[in-house]
Amino acid sequence: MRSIILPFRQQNEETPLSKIHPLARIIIPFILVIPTLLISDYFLIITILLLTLLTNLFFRLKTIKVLSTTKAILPFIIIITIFIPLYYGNTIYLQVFIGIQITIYQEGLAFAILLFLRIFTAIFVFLSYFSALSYSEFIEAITKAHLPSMFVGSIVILLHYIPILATSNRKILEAQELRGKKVTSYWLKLKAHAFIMGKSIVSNMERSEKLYESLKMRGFSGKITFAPRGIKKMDLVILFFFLSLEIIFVIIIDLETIYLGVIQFCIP
Amino acid sequence: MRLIVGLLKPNSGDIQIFGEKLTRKKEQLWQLRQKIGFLFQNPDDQLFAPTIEEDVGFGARNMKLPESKVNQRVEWALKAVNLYDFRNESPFNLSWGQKKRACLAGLLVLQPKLLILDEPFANLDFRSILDHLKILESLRKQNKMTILFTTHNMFFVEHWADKMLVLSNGNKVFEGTPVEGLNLPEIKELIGSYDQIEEFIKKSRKSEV
Repeated sequence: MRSIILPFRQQNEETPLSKIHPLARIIIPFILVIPTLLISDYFLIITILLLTLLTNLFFRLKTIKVLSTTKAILPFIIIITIFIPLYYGNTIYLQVFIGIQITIYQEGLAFAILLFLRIFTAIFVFLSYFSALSYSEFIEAITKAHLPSMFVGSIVILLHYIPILATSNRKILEAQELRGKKVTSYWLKLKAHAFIMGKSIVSNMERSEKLYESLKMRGFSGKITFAPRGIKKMDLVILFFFLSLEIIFVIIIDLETIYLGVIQFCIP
Repeated sequence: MRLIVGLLKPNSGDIQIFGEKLTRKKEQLWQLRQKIGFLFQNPDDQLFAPTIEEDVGFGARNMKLPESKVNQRVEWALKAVNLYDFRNESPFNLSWGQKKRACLAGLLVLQPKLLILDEPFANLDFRSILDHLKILESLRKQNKMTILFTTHNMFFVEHWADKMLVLSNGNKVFEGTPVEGLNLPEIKELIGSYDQIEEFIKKSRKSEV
């Protein structure tokens, strides 16, 4: 159930990336994504996107599932970016009259495309690497990262309750449907879920209190301890490799020339 | 039950457990909780870790035992509840009965002297009840664990328990052997019995004929 709601792989499902320490696998997407958010370079973003796609195919990650999840988030990215060209910028790129005058600014369009690519790439990269992690490895990684125990504890309990909350929501909705409620559209379903969510949260508050009591009964003092696994030299080498790759893309290689060269080669 | 393990604070009076007065000191509470395993009615209130093995090992790791010792205890506990083959599974993939056994294993790693079970046989089919009983009987006999359980099903009180305590609205109304208690008319009236249900069904069906 957890694997359906959260983007983690099944516990027993091995991938070639499983040999790399979970903490290293969590750091890699950060190494790849952060420069794309700081540097306004379309070619760098496309390179990171292609690199992740290649990694997906090479390590046989769940590319189709990742793309389908990214596709589900696509409308939200479009909503965030679509209006930017209409009010940002000075240089008029296009003017259309459809009852009202619509002006698209060049700077706004460039910024919207950049923002769209940035968000899409970030989501795709994170989902790709997260799909190679099991829930257990994710918890192991955040425990190993020496994050504050309160933060780790909250995440563990939160992840524990997401599927429970979703299941109890679904059951309430099914019970309502059995008593004649008609949920015909996505919008109605969303409304019904939002309405039930309040009730579910209240009833699950009591359960989370019980979970806390059961943890206390087994010696919980704020720190969650699972089976530890050390970081090997190989993991550090892999992290260094990705870091170097990023530096090469940003400083050493002129990506623009390469891409333009490839385009010219393909379309003479 | 929550009072016994120090999860609740009594409004008045003292609690004596294992010959010691129960205080609210953290160290004493943790010492006590290593001697008492408390099984919640709903296993989803206890299971939280990504895998069964990690959930079961949680208490042992909090005891600051060496990792080899933790693994030893986890293996023993999982074998004791017949879940060793499921050790790498997510708790969410288990059935209700298996979840309950996983919770029990999580308590067994602490190697408690007393097991407190809240409705241990609730929502289980006869086959699962038998599996649970076999495990609990083996723990009671081989590991000399005392078992304290709450139930609304008098079958287990009559056939399994040595002592019986009846509470009504927070007050003790009876303490003694099940044979004594279950034959008292006022106790029968208070907790009801299969006889009453049987009589009602027979009467109801007879009136239809």
